[in-house]
Formats: sequence, structure tokens, C-alpha cells
Amino acid sequence: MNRNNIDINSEDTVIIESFRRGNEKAFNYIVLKYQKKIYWFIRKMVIDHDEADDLTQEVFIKLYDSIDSFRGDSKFFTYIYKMAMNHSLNHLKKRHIILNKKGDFSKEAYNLKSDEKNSDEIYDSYNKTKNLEEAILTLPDQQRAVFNLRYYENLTYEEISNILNKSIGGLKANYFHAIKKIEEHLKKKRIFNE
Amino acid sequence: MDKNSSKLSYHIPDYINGNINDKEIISAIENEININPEFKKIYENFRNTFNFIHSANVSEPPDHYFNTILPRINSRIHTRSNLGFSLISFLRNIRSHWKYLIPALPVILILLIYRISFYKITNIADSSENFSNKNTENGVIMNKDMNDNSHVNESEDIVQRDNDQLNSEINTFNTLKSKKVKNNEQNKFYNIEENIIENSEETDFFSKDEEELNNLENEFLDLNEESQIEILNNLKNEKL
Repeated sequence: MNRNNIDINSEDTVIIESFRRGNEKAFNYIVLKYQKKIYWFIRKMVIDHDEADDLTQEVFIKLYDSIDSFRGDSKFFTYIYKMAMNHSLNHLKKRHIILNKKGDFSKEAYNLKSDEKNSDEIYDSYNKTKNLEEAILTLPDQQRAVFNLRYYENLTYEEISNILNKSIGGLKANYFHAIKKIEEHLKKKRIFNE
Repeated sequence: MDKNSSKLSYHIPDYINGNINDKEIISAIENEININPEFKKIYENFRNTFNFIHSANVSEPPDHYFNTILPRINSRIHTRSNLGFSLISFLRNIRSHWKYLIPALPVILILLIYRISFYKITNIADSSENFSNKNTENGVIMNKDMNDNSHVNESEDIVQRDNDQLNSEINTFNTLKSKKVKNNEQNKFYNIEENIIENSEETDFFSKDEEELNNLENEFLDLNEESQIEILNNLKNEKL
């Protein structure tokens, strides 16, 4: 654990204690601090923006209700990531998300702000994102969580282990197989050759 | 691919992304890439895959989206609170005390059961003692060596007797009450009668008429028979 992590953790502890004492502004501070991380983590899990938006809010409301159960044994961000991951996995189990059902794949949903790009570039970018999101959706829940936490969130295996309660060796294997599955999906879509 | 190569292949994703600090693992991977074609193929495929992932932009949420999350969360919390979710805050408040409440719960239950049973036993014992005292006063000699069962039976008898006594007292009370009601009614009657008498005394008019009638009757009786018949005929004719 480096000095920066210690500072972040102690800062979180002070904010949480303040919230426990009834300071509602402390909760606002927690939301503002973690909203992007939690949104993007959930978004990579469920892919759809609207679902990610709803789940992000629910995670923070859940945090609001259960802040007392955080005892400070682990880092606060591990605690909140764990909460977000469990919430996302529960949601995925309930929903059984179907591929290609996502309205978010429409061209309007992303990257149209880059007006300087020509239509081919936009279409190419759109196709890449669509294929990647489809590939991520093919991953089993556990592998998807490990891939998101390791690749996008850049967490260490120790931190992921604390969140998922899995061994580091198992997590490395999960990460490897997640990349392998994405690769297979891309080959199937003829994105690149065998 | 042998077991060591297979185990080493799990480090390929981190090797491609520069996330391995251990120099021994790095050199082992590089060596394996050079000598093992199967391992090399995995490495190249993974490198292509990561190149693709790097190049694919994830669709961004709408502009200013992150400015709207906090107000909406607060709004939902506020709305929920207004809808009567104070139970959550109640549970939240007592959550920290659960660790004391749960172990204490069996103890509380045991004490409660003990208290109830003790109360019953005390009552029976008191009744038994009262019965003993009463009987002693009446000259009945109690056998002090009675066993517990006989105590219980006697206590039940006492309870039965007490109940009978209570019932008889209730009956007596009801009788007295009904008598009192009857007396009250009778008193009322007497009062009315007295009032009537008082009223009659107050009204001389009726008493005076009565005297006059008596005098007239006496005068009538003093008359001879012919005069009486004549008067009666006159009265008949006058239809009085």
C-alpha cells in the first residue's frame, strides 16, 4: 500500500465518520468522488447506459442505508466496488440480458460529438464499440467483472481478490480466459483473421 | 503446451499492458515467446485483441450526465423518506445494538417464563397459606406432612371454594342490589302517595265539598220515606 492509498483511505474514513454523525454533505462528497468510477464499472458490466444509470443510483442509495456496516476493515473503495459488483451481478441474473437488444448501440448514442470525423470514421468507430460491447456481453459474469476491474479500473489482483473473494491465481486465469473469449468473438465476427 | 508454459500464459495479458514488475517473469515470458510457437501465437492474438480493445471507444454518456446523478440520488432518498421509510432509519439505528440484543433475547425470554411461572406458584402458595390459616382458626388440624401433589389439589380446592364464595358474594350483592332497587321504587311510591296527600291537604276545595255532601246525605236520611222518594223522583226528572 503506497502513501497515496493511505491518504485516500484515511480521507474516506473521515468523510464516512462525518456522515455517520449526521452530516449529509459528507454523503454528497462520497457520491461526487465515486460516481464516475461506479458508473463506468457498472456500465462495463451491463453495457446499457440507462441500466447503468439506474444501478449507479441504487448503489449509492444502498450505501446511504448501509454505511454503518462499513467497519473500515478494508478500503472504502473496495467496499463500494464490491457493492456495485454484487448489485450488477444480481441485476444481470434477473435480466438475462439479450445480445443486440441494446438501444445504446445506435449511432446517436455516442461519438457523434466528433463533428470533424467523416462518416466512415464514425461508422468504423461505432462498429468497433458495438463489437467490443457484444464481446464483453458474451463473458460469464465472473470473467466480466475481473476483466473490467483489471483492464478498465486498473485494480491490482489483491484489490480484486478483496472485492470478489477469489484467489489471485484464479483471478489471473479468469482474466486470461476473458481475453481469450473476446478474441474468439472478434474472430467469429471476422474483425481479424485466425 | 506444458504445465509451466500454460501457467506462464496467464501473465500474457499483464505483460502486454506493461503491468508486470517482476523481471524474472518478464524474462521467462520473453524466452517462452522465442522458443514456443504455440505460446507465441497466444501472445500475438492477445496483442491484436488488446489493440482492438484500446481502439474501440466506449460510448460516452450524455453531456453533463455526471452533474445530474447527485441531485437525482438525493431526490430518490428524500422521496423514499417521505413515503415512510423511517423503518430503515430505525433498523439502521438499532443495527449497532443487534450484537447485544440477539444474545440477550434468550435470557430475556427465560426470565419472562420464570417470572410468569414464579408468579403462579406464589399465588397458589398464598392461597394455600390463607386456606391453612382459615382452617386453623376454625379448629381444623392440618396435616403438615402433606406431599406437593396434595398441596396442589388442596390449592385447587381452595381456588374452587374461593370461586364459590365469590359467586355467592356476587349473588348476595345482586340480591341486595335488586332489593335496593325495589326499595327505591317503593320509596318512590310512598313519596307519590305523600305528595298526593299533601296536595289534597293543600286543596280545601275538595274537602269542603265532601263535608257538604255528608251533611246533605244525613239530612236526606232524616227525612221520611215519602219525602225521600219525592226528592229522588225530582232528581230523576231533572236528570242530574
